[in-house]
Amino acid sequence: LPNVKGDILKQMIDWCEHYKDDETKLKVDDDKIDVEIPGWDEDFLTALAVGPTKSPLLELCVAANYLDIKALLMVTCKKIANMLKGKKGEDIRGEWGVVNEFSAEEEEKIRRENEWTE
Amino acid sequence: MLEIFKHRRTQATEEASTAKETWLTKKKHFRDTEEWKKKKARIMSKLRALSKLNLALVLSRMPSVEKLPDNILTSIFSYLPARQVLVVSSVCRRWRNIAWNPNLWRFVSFRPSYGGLQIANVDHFTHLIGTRFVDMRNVELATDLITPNVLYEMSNKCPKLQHLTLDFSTAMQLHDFTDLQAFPSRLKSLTICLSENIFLEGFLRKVYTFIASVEILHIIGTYEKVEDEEEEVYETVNIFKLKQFLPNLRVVNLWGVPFITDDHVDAISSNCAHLECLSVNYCAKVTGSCLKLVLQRCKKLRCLFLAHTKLDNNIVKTVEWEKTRIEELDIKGTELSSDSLVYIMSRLPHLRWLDASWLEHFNDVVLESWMNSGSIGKLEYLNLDTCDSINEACLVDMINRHGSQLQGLNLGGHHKLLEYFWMNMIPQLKNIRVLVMGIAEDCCPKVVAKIHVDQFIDCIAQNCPKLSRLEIRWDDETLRFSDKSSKFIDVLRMKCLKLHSIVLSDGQYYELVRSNFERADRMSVVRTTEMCRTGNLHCSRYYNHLLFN
Repeated sequence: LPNVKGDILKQMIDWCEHYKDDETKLKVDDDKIDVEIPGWDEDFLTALAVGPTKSPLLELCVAANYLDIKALLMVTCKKIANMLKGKKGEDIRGEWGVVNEFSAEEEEKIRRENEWTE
Repeated sequence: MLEIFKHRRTQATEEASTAKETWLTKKKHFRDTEEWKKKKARIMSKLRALSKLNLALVLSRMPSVEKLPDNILTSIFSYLPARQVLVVSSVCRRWRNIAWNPNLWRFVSFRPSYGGLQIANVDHFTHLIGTRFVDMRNVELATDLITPNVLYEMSNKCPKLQHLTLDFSTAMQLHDFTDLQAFPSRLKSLTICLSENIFLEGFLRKVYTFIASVEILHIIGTYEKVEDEEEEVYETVNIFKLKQFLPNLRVVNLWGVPFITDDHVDAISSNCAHLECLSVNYCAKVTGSCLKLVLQRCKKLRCLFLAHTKLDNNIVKTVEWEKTRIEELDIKGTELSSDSLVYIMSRLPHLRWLDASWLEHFNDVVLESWMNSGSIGKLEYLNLDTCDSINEACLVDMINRHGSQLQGLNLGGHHKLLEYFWMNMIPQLKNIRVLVMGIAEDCCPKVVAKIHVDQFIDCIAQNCPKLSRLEIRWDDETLRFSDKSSKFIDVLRMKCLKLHSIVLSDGQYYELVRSNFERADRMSVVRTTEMCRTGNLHCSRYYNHLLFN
C-alpha cells in the first residue's frame, strides 16, 4: 500500500479489532447531527493527536479514506472537527502547523468580509 | 587526541596525581580562554541553524493538515457549526475555498435564538446570498432578515431552496413589502412562526401567488406566551385566504395557535384533497366540529393529532370514524368522557399509533370495549401515561392478549403498577422497542412499596431483544438495588444490542448505570428524567415532517 505507512496500518487494525465483535457499536450516520464520539475512540484518537502537526491522527484519517473504511473515516473526521471547535484562526494555525500565507492587507480584507455576521 | 591520552596514561602510573592535576588545570585554563569562548559561540550558532533547518525539513516531510485531500477537509468541516466554519475559513486560502463549498451550506439557520448565525450587516448578507449560499436547501430566517431584498435574492439565486422557515415571533413591526416582486417558488415546506400581535397580511398577500408548491405547512403559534386565557387574541394570519393558495398540502401543523377554530380547520381542508396528516395540538379553541367534514373530504388522512384541544363529547360521537383510514391519533389531555372514548376507539380498525395520555376518563370500560370491538388488532404504539382510572387487572388482560404486537408502550404515571405487574408483563412484550414505566416522586399518590430494579433489568434483558429506548421513572428512594446490580446491567447491555437510550431519575442508581455504560464506551446512552423524555412520536410516519424549531 503506497499511501499507508506501517505504523498507521497497525493503528487501523487495532481499531478494527476493537469493533469486529460488536458491530452495533458502529454508527455510520449521515445526518451530521450526532458529533459525539464513543469513549474508547476518544482515548484512542487523542493518543494519536500528538506532534507538531498531529500527523498520526491525520494519517489514520487519510488511510481510512483510501481503504474506504467509512466508520473509521467518520470518527476521525469528527475527532478533528471537535478539536477545531471553539478555536480562533490563529490558534488553529499554530496547533496544526498551517502556514499563514495571507498578507496583512488580505487579512484585513477577510476580516471586513466576515463582518456580515457577528 | 588519542595519542595524547595514551601518552598521559603511560605517565599516569608514575606521575598519577601530579599529571592528572596538570592536565585538568590545563583544560580548565583552556576553557577560560577567549579562544574557547569564541569557538563555543561559533559551534552553538551552527548547531542552532542546523536544528532549525532540521525541524523545517522534518515538518515539511511530515503530513500536516495541509496534506489532507479536499474531500476529507470538507467532510471535517461538515461536522462544524456554521459559526466555526466561518472561523476556519480565515485560516488559509485553501481552507477558505473548502469552507465556502456550497455543499456545506445546504441547511443554514439565521435564527440566533435557535443557535443560528447572527447577521450584523443585512446588505452584505443579501449580496452574499448570490455568491455563497446558492446551494441552500433549507433556510431559517429571523424577523429582521425577512425583507423584500433578501427574499428577492433568494428567489433568484437559490433555485434548490425547498424548506423555508420565517420566524416572526420576535417581530416588533413588519417591513414594508409593497415592493416585493419575488419569493422562492419551489418550496416544499413552509414554516411561519407567529407573533402575538403583528398582522402578517401585508407580507402574505405579496407571497400567495408563489406558494402553490408547498406540501408541508407549519404555523407555530404563541401558545407558550399566552398567560391569561381572557387576553385578547389577534388573528394575525388570514387562514381563509391562505388556504386558497395551497392546494397541494399533505401535512398541516397548526401548533398552539390561539385563534384557530374549527372553521379554520374546515376551510383548510376544503381545498386539499391530498391531506394526509393534520395536527392541531394545543389549539385550545378547536372542539372537533370540523372533523365530520374534514374526514369526509380528506380520504387520505392517516394521522390526526388533537392534543390539548377542547373536544366536545357530543360532536365527537357524530363523526363517522369507521369510514376513515386513520392510523395515528393523539388525544392527549383532551377531556373526553368514557362514552366518547368507547365510541371512537371501537371505530378505528386501522389504528397503529395512539397517544391517549392524561385522560382521566380512559378507564377499564373503555379499554375492554376497545378490545372487544376488535379494533385494537393493528395497534403497535400505545401511550397511556397517567391514565390513572385504568386498573391493573384490565391492563394485564390487554397485555396478555396484545402484548406481542406492541412495539411502543408507555405506562408511566401509574402508581399501582409495581413489581408484580411488570415482572409478569415484561415477558409478554417480546417485540417492544420503546418502554416507559414508573412514576416520579412528585406525582401523587406516592408509591410506598419498593422496586427491586435488578429483577426488572434481568427480565427485560431476557425477554426484550429489540428494545431501543427505556425509561424508568421511579425515583431513587423507591428503587432498590444491590452490589450485584452492575452484573445485571452488563447482561442488559449485551442482550439488548439496539438499546441506545435509557432515562432514569437522577440519583444513585442513575450514576451506577451511567458509569457502567461509560466503561463500555457507550457515552450518551443514559440520561436523567430532567434532561430527557421518552416517547413514541419518532415512530409516527410523519415524524420528520412534523419537526419544527
